[in-house]
Amino acid sequence: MFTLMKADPFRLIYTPMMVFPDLDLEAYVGLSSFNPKGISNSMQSHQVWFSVYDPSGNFVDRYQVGKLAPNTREFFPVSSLTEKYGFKSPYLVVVHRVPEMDLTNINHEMFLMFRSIVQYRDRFKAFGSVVYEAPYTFNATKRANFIVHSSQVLLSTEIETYLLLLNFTTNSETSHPITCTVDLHHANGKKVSSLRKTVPGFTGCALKLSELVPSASVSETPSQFTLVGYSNEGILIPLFLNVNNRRGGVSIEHTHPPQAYLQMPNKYFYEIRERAINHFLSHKENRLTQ
Amino acid sequence: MNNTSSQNESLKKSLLHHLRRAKNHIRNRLPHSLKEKNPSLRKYGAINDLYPWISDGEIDTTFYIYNHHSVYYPHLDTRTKVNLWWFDSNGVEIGKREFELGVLETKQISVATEKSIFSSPSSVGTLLWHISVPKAVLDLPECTKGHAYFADRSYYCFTKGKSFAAFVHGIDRYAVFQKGVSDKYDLFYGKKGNYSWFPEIPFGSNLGCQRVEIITTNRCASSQAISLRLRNQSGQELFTHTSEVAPRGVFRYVASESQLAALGPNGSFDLHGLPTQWTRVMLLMHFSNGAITLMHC
Repeated sequence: MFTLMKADPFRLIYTPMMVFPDLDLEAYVGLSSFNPKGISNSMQSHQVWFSVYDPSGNFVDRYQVGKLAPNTREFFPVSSLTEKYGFKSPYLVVVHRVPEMDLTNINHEMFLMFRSIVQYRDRFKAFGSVVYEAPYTFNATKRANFIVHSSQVLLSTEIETYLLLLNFTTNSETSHPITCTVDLHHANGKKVSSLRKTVPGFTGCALKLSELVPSASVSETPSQFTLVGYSNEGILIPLFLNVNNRRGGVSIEHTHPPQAYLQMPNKYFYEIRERAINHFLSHKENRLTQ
Repeated sequence: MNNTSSQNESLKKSLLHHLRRAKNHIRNRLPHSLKEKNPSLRKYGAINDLYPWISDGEIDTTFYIYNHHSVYYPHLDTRTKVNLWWFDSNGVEIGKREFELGVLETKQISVATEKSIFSSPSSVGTLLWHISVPKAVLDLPECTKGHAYFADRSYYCFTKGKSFAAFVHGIDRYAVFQKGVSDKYDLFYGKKGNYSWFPEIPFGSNLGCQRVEIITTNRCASSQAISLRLRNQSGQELFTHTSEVAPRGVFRYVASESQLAALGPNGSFDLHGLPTQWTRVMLLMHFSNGAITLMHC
């Protein structure tokens, strides 16, 4: 029984992740009952639960899918374990680890660095994996903004890059659609195109980035582009997914928030971030809407 | 009784609140040199990682060096220059060069094409680069008063022919370039540590890989003996490997298909003697269809 506790057991260790039935990729999550430093709670077993949202972001179900014995690690097939809902469009699954212990007066800081491996496997038996963890509160205030940049866009006749955008919050009361803008730049810095995309709460999408560049830019030799994404409406979780649909092959990597680049007092940091977002928002050339 | 208890609790909370405010008040007035524990971070400048690379005829590595200053200062002239230093697997410098970087520009640096400037042939090594903080940014108060450091959390890409590419980001910190100086740097980490790391990924036959390469670098000033242990699901140690890794050098171990099979479906690996807490490792995985993937863990 979860009584008198300070922390929500389903938020102690959780991972929001997307399932993409339309991309022909099977989603898996790799979980462990310890953190990689190996010193925290390694002798603890954990229940594994899924919270499932439909493609429109409505909560559908929460149920236990398994258990992790102490000091073990295991992959769980997220696509097949949620196949029963029959969703054909991308949908959100939140994976929870609930420690099997007296949760009275539990502090969420005991579970820092409990990361998950989010993995997508293709029909060629190749896969790509990314490791991340989520904080106890995420996107929980109404006033938030984000800016992301990455050089991970590679396009060719074989290689496609998707930008995955996930709208998740730990506070359902503040959940709202977030519109963000994505700019693609040539290696020389010149803007190629720009797209505005609205992502409803508790949903995600996979933006096919080859659709943002002229077809003449895509040849047998991969071309690289740099992406800048931003919004003053909230925070989206961006991931980059590179796939070879013809021969197989998947690669996925997360991005870093601006505070990973700008190590300075908050008063400067907030000013820089807001000024940059407003600057990009005011430059609307080549912008499409989806 | 309940009222007294509630009053005590309220008094305690109020006292704690005021103590916290007083602590922050004092801390905010301390000189930066007293607040900042890392002596390399008491001025302002840029922090860069040390990136591993492979260019062995099958795998090549491409670095996309991107002017991230243009994203945060779009209203300024952020044209700048980049310095590159190439090292071999033992951390010995084998080449260096410098180039200009425009606003929002990305320079694509492929190891295979850079090899022409290497002083000795090498198929594995490390790369350090430094994007100079643009002059217009160096003059801003966040630098001169705020002791700002700009960390370059860049991505790099392992490629196999034109068909397969896998990205990963830099995972740690290596060099700190102070103020506008671009030809010398301090080390982010002082003396070496001795850390262990237990990656969470179930590691063994479940991966279905032909082989998995486990790669990391030594970001400290002295050499370090790094040990790897491969275990089966019961935690039994089946394979071990220790390698003395020079400063700026590379640790690389290839787990074969037969080793992965021997580990079973939910085996594991762990590393010991890591010089920094966040050394972590890259996994380069090879699949039977020819594909590769890369992840940090």
